[in-house]
Amino acid sequence: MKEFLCDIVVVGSGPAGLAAAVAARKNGAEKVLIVERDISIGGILQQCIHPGFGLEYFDEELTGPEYAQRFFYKAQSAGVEWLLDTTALEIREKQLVCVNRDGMIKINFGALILAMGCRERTRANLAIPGSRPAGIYTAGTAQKLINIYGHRIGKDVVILGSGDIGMIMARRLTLEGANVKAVVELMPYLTGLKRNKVQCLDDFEIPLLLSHTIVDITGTDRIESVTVAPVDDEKRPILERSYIIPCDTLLLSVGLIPENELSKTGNVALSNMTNGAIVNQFMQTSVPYVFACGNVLHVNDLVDNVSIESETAGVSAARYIQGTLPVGTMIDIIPGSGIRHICPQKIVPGGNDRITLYFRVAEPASNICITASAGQRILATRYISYISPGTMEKLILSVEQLASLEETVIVSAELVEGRK
Amino acid sequence: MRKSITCIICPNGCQMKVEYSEATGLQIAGFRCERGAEYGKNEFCRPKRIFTSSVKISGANRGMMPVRSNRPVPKEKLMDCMKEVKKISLNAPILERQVIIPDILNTGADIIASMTLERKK
Repeated sequence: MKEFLCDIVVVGSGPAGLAAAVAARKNGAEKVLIVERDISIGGILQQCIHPGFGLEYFDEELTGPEYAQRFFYKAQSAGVEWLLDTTALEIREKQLVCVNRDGMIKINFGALILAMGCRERTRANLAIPGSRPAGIYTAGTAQKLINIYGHRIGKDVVILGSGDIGMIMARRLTLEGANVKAVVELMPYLTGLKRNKVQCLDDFEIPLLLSHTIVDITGTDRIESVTVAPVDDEKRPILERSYIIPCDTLLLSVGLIPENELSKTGNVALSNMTNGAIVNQFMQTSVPYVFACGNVLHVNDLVDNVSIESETAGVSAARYIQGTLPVGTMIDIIPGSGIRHICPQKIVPGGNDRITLYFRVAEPASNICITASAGQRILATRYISYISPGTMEKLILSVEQLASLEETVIVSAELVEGRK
Repeated sequence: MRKSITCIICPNGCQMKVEYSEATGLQIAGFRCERGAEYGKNEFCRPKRIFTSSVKISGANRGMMPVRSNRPVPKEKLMDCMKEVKKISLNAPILERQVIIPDILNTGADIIASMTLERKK
C-alpha cells in the first residue's frame, strides 16, 4: 500500500475543489493535492456546455468547459497536483484512504477540503407511482449522455421539475431535434432562474405547467406516457382533472442533495437544513482539520459564488496548518421567519474579515427586508424588491459589527410596508 | 407590433410591454432601470443568443467536443446553426477557441471550440 504526506488534500476537482486548491497554494500551503474520481479535471462543468457562467467572477459570459479550463490553468500555474481516476473512501484521523487501479493509497494531511459536489434527486426520492420502464433519466444524467457521449436519448420528452438543469435540457433536446412537450412543476412558482425560463422555454415555446405534477407513468419496456394532474393549495393532485401526455422520455429535475457519504466517515457534523456540513465563516467543519465548500456544503445556483466561497475554504485551510486561523467559542447563526436555510451556521468572533451569509427564503416575496440581529442589536439589513427560493441571496456582516458579538445571530425576512 | 418581454437582467424579472408603430416610434413600459429598458429594446428589435452545442470528435478521451458561437447570433437562426454543426466531425487534438466554422450562416459569428481536447495516448 502506498502512503504519503500532503499539506492539504482536496476531494473533487470541480469548481469548488479547483478554487480551494489554488487559494491554498497561493496562501503558503506547499503540497496541495486534488483527488478526483473522474479521468479529467473540471467536474460537472465539463458537461454544462451552455453559456451563463463567469458573469460575476470573470466579468464575461463563459460556457462550463471554458470556466473549468480557466481554473485548470490557474491550478496548473499555482503548482497544484492531482490524482485522477482515484476514489476517496474514508476519512481517518488526519488521513484520507483512497483507491485507484494501483491499489489502496493512504494520504496523510494537515488539512482536508471536501468539494465533492452534489447528486440529483431521483424517481425513488419522489415515489412517483406507475410502471418501471426505460427512458426515465435525471436531467444531469441526460446532459452527460448527450453532451459528452453524444447519445440520442429520446424524441418526445416531458420534464418534471423547473430546476435549472431541467430547463437547460429542454432547450438542448429541442436543438437536438426532440419534441419537449411540457415542463411540469409542482410549486406555483419557477424553481430555477428566470433567465433560464426565458432563454430555454419561452424561446422555443415549451409550455411550463406550474402547480402540476405527474401522477402515473405507463409503459412496459419503454415509457409510453405520463399522467399529469393539477394540484390544489395543499399540493394534492386533483385527479378528476388529470390528463395523459404520450412520451418516450421523462427527465427529472427535482432538486440536488449534497454528496456527504465521505464526510460522514470523518464524523463531520451535517446540517439537516442544507444537508451539508455545518461550518463557520472559515468554511471549517465541526472537525477542525476538515473544511467544506461548494455544492457539497449547500446547493448553489451560480458557479461564481462557489468559486468565491471555495477560495475562503482554501485560504482558511492554509491558515489552519500554519496555526494562524482564529479559534474560539462559536456563535450560532440561525434562520428566523421566512428564511429556509443559511450558511455558514457558526461565527468565530474576532476575525479580521467581513462575513458573507448565503441564504434562501422559504417562499417567493416582493418588498422584503432581510435583517441579521443579535439580541437587541441589528447587525445588518438589506432591502430586496423581489426574491424567490430559486435564488440564493447574500447578506454581509461588517468587521465592526462582529467585533463584540456574543449572542446568537438570527436572520429573518419581513415584508416592508409602503415601499415600492 | 407589440410584445410582452420578461427582463432577465436581475431577479426582479420586470414584465415589459414593448410597442412599435410609425406614428409613436418605439415605446417601452414596465421597466425599473435603464439596463432593463436597453434589454427590452434589444429583445424587441433583434433578439440574439450565444449558440452552444457539441460536435463529434474522434481520438480524444471523450466523444463530443463542446462548441459555442464567439458572439451572439440572431435567435431565429439557432436551429439553422444546429444543422450546420451537425455536419461537422473533428479529430483530436483541438485547442480551446480554435475556429470550427467561420462566420456561420453569414452572422459574423464563428463557431469555436469551448475546451482543449488532447489526442488520447
